Amino acid sequence: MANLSGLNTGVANPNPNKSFEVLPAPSDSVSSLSFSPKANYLVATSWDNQVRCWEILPGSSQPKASISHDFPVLCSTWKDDGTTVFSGGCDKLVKMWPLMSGGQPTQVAAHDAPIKEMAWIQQMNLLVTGSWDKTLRYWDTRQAQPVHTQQLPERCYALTVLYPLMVVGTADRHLIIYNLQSPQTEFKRITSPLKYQTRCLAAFPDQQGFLVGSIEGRVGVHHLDDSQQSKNFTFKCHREGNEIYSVNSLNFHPVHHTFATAGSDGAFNFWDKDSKQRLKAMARCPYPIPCSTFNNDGSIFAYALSIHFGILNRLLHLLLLLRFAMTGARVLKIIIQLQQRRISIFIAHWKVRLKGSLV
Amino acid sequence: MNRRKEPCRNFQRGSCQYGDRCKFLHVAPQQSKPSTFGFGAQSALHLAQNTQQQKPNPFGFGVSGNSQLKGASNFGARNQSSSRPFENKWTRSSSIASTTSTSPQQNDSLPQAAIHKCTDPELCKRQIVEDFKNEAPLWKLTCYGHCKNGPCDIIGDISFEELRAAAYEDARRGLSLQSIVERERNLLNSKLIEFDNLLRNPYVLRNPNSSGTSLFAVTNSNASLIGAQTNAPPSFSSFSQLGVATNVGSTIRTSVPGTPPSAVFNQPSSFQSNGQTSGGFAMKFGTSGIGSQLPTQPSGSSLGPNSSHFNNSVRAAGSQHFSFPAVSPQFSGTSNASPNILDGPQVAPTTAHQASVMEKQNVSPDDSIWLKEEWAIGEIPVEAPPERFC
Repeated sequence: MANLSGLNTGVANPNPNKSFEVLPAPSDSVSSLSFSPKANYLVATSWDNQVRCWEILPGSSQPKASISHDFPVLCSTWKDDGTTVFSGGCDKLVKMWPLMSGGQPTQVAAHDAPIKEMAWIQQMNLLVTGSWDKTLRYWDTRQAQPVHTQQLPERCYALTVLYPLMVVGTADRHLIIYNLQSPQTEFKRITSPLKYQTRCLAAFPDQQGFLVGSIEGRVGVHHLDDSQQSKNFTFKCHREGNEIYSVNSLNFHPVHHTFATAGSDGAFNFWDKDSKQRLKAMARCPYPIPCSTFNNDGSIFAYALSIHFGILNRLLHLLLLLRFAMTGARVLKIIIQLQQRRISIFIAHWKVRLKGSLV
Repeated sequence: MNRRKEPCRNFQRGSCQYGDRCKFLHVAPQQSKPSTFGFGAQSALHLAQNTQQQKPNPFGFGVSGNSQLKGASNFGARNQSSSRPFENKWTRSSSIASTTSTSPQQNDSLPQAAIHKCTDPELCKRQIVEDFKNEAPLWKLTCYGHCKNGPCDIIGDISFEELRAAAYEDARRGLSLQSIVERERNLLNSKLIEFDNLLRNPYVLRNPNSSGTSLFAVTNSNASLIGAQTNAPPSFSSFSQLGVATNVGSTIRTSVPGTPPSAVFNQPSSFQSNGQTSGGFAMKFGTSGIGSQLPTQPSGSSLGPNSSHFNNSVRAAGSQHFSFPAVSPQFSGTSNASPNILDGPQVAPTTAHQASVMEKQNVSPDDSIWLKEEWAIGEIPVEAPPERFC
């Protein structure tokens, strides 16, 4: 097992799932993870202003390159051909980094406020970015001006794109659905079926609807078509006793169309929305998981652990966390969870791991 | 792993016993959804079609496979059921979540009515009480809506990243850790106060509230918002911190306390709490059936230009049209409190004091209705004037 860098040794095992750890870890919380659509390259953006890339090989990882911004980086995405990475964050601009060819990053987009989410739309050859300045902007990377600016009712908190479906979650529980074939018009605007702040979104692979996760440990399954409204439901997850943690990340498995949720309680679970079952509950890590992602064929699930998130109402923690956050001396890990089998036959994989032959 | 490319005939009929192991292709029998909204025509997608599980299995395969998946020991059972992937278990209590509560059932019972009219205040109040008791998330700086699919009762969301970005920004500018923590604590407290207020007077629901008080409010809104500018510096220390946080990225990075645009920006959240409480009073006299959207709209839009005047320097003017219609139901309802809240915080900047001051101010909306020369329709109080006016 990879050596787990020095944490307070009094804390519980940070890696109870015996996942493989990616080193060197960023020095501050990870804000987003994304895998290349073509190969097993993982990019992680973090609050220490860096964007790092690793190549993930079976059983090991190799750091490849990194760039830096001037401010914490909040989101990243790959271009569909797997050559370029876009990253944006509190510096209110997006850098395009052609890392496969070893190029230098260039700025391609700008907003008036930190950029929270972005996605590359392959079919339109545009980058869409959502920011806290309440706009969504579409960028052609060759031009300095956005192709289109879309007003949002509130700050953008979450975004999911699966052409032609795009769903944007904003503050105050608005969910706006766009048909990217006519991006200037909102297809529909609804209020979230959940009662608290929207945290993350994921579009169904068949584009019939989407998942919405909130800070109250609940995920809503929402179908777009009115005739399917009866299939909408919400379920609770990431709760421990009376403590209700936020669901930070929702990801669909690219092949099996089951999905994973990751929460601030440090657990990640796999679910099947059609049979409404939880397929697998992984052991809880002692730290919140702010982000997670699958690789392009679903054989690797990467999640990040980071100190900081979601416990801010306990002011003692607030003090500690802030101090650490500002000095940057915090331990964070990116951990890879390798899945060798489809999720429904998980048991085989699990037994394999028991025997210690983890790969 | 389907080896043959042919669709499975049994699956089309809804009952393939091999399930995932079947060697034919499990394609959904009915093709995609109406193109009225143009999404995901199945034929256009190149996805593994095996898992198109739209049709619930009419044969209702054995509920026996529904065991809870809490641990490895259940995997065997899970494997059984995996061969029958179409058990649509409509009973929520199985499998998905660990605990049950009334909320899932409520999700069922409230059909997707886009507008929930909140016709039964008691029910809503109970819902709110229960929500706060059982479902209070750990992250407090959030909006809240008591009915799903309904608009928010408490607005003023702050996400993890926003708070953190603001903290980093403050640290970069040299603010001490102590003051950052102080600011965050204030934010938290004010939010908690808002939630408390909602709990105590949950039945605000914008319509009765605003119709009763909106006309009064509009005339004063000019004065109030202008007043905000002058009152801002000494009093909005905690709220304006919020303004900086939520205006992160605002091009105006002047000194932190009370820049007018940010003060105005904050006001929705602080107003909301006030509005909630004053709304409680409005209930008493405003509910004579004038619950329609109509009265609120004019006030909402008239408020829009006022605020946009202040926010222009911070936001593009265009954005106002979007934020205000969304917020106008609450905004117009709360704006009546605006003259009051401006007087209040001047007394003391601490949030504790503000809370008590806010309570005090709530009495005045009551009185104001009696002081008016003329009453418009919908404002006529239902009950007799209090003693002091007789």
